[in-house]
Amino acid sequence: MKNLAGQSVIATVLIVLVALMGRLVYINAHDGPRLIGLAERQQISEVPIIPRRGLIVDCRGRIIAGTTLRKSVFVDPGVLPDTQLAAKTLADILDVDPSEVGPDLLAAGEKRFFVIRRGITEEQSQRIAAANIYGLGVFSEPCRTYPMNDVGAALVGFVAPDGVGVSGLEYQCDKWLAGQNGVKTIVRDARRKAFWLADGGYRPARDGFHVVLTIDAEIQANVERELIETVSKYKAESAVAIVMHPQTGAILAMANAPGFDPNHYRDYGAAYYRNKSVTDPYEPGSTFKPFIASGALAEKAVRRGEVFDCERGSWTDGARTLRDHHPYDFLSFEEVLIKSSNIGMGKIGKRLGNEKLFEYCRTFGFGEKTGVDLIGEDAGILRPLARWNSFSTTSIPMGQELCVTPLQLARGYCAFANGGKIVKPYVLRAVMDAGGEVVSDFTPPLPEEPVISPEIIETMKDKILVEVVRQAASQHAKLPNYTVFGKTGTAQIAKKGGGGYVPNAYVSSFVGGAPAKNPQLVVLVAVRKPQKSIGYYGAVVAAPAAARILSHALAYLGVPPEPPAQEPIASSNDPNALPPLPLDAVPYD
Amino acid sequence: MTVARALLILFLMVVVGVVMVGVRSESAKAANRIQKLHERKVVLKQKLWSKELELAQLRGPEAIRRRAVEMQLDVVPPAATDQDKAKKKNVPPNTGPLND
Repeated sequence: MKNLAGQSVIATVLIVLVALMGRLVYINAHDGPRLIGLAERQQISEVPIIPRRGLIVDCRGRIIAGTTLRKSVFVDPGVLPDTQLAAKTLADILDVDPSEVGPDLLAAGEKRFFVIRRGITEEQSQRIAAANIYGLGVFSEPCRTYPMNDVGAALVGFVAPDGVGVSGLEYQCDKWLAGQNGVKTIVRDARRKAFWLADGGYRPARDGFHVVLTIDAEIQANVERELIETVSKYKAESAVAIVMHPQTGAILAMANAPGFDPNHYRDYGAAYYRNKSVTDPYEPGSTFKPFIASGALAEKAVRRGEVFDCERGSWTDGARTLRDHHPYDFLSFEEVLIKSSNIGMGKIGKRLGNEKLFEYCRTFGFGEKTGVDLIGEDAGILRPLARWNSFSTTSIPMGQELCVTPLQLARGYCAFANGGKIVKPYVLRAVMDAGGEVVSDFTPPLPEEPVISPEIIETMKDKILVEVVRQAASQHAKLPNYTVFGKTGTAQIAKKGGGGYVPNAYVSSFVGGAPAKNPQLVVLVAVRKPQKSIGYYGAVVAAPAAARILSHALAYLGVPPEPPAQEPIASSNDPNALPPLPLDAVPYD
Repeated sequence: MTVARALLILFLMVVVGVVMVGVRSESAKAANRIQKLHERKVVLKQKLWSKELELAQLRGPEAIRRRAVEMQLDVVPPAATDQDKAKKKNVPPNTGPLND
């Protein structure tokens, strides 16, 4: 009996065990995948690893744009127990009025994740965590920062809050800067706290590549400072400046004024974001004259020292009357440029004819994009030859009837500095990975052949453009330790849609370079709409700024000083020829 | 099967069980430590990035000029002072294309 009872117990236990095993097998076979999925959802989560956006650095490795992490507050309104209390607590921590935070909390609506405030301090972050309000939390997010503030802002651009580049190089180089997301698979405990990494659950993010520019932040900052001074002094509307290395086409500075701070880009309008050096063409005025003069020399349409009758300041050619700022009788070819005679240039234009004028405009790269590695470049305006007329013959040599971008003009002057070669301007120097290895080198090949005889280029630079700065009113651009070559311009601003020029509105400019014997830099300064009563000639408004920019940049780059050029220019032997002007005299443009 | 043999098997199973639990525990500890190190790495990276940008700010041309003025090093032109910033704010806000 006792034995039977024992066997019954064992049998019962066995039956229960078998039943349990059967149930286990059933659950495993029937609900297994679903339950495993539920368990994984509860215990395992994939967390994206956000890569660091690449840096944008200048040619010396100084960071112009970088990324850091900032703390931000989010709310999950679905689980927030008491909105009023949360608003009061948050307002207290953020030191703002509760009425500022309350609407934000209510605005979250049905969303499960709503960012209330970005960029809070570490102390505020700790206080929010300590407040322990369910549904209110702090998270870290990447934040693009521009440590030099407005330095190179129009060039570099900025990124949207979601980390995507929307303007300038930030937009253009987004594919390199963005990087690739990583992921880590985390096993969490019952309280959803990260416990450990799942096996093989870690794929690191690839940080964005760094973009290296040809820009030098020191030169760029100084150029921006000079532009701001100039715009402020002459109450101008805006100004642009470019500093280029004429032998390679590397752009060392490219600035707009007024600029903007990309850290607070929302405080500015879209007009501030434009890189006007490549997007905004204008009539170059007298700064264009050396290109046509070079063409005239190359075609042997004029001789050096040849004398032109400048008609005492007024010359009627067909239906058109040209005027000079100053009345001249006779000027040599060189003096036509030095004194910037429109009549002299008009006569040179007539000798060349429209076809050759057009050809030399194209020779120096006008009417087509420079190919600079920046988005939004404008080709300028050079009308097709078929649309030129008799007015064009005298207008083009004076820098009218065509529009050029500041970059096109600066590149044209690079040809005077490098023996007649048309360089390809560039800003992007290289892309490097996070370890500093070069991924891509963008240095363009140097042009081999000059587009015009180097002898003519030397003549233009050393015998004419140097004298422009040495003799004429452009001597505002003179430097004590370097021989500067260049040309000023005071161009009227054409009305929109044609029909003449805007009264009293000018673009005052200077383009030139130094040292003349072996030019290391070409600089362009163009100031739009300076107030006429204060000053509007290129020699007065733009040349001094250009000189200061050159002086600073040459010294900074360690370019050895050179003695000033001494050789006298060819003269018309005109007894009435004007002597060099004193600095305060009316400038020629 | 003798009772002794059954006890031996039971003992071995207990030992294997204890070892497996121990291994599992160590593995969990290691995984947990790796996770903590990852978190620490993220924090350190954040600090590094932040310091990099602080350094970049200090290396910025304007910051250097400001410090040179503050330290009266006499190497900065008179115009390069904090007035620059004030001037920046005084420039007219309207800006248009260079060519109307």
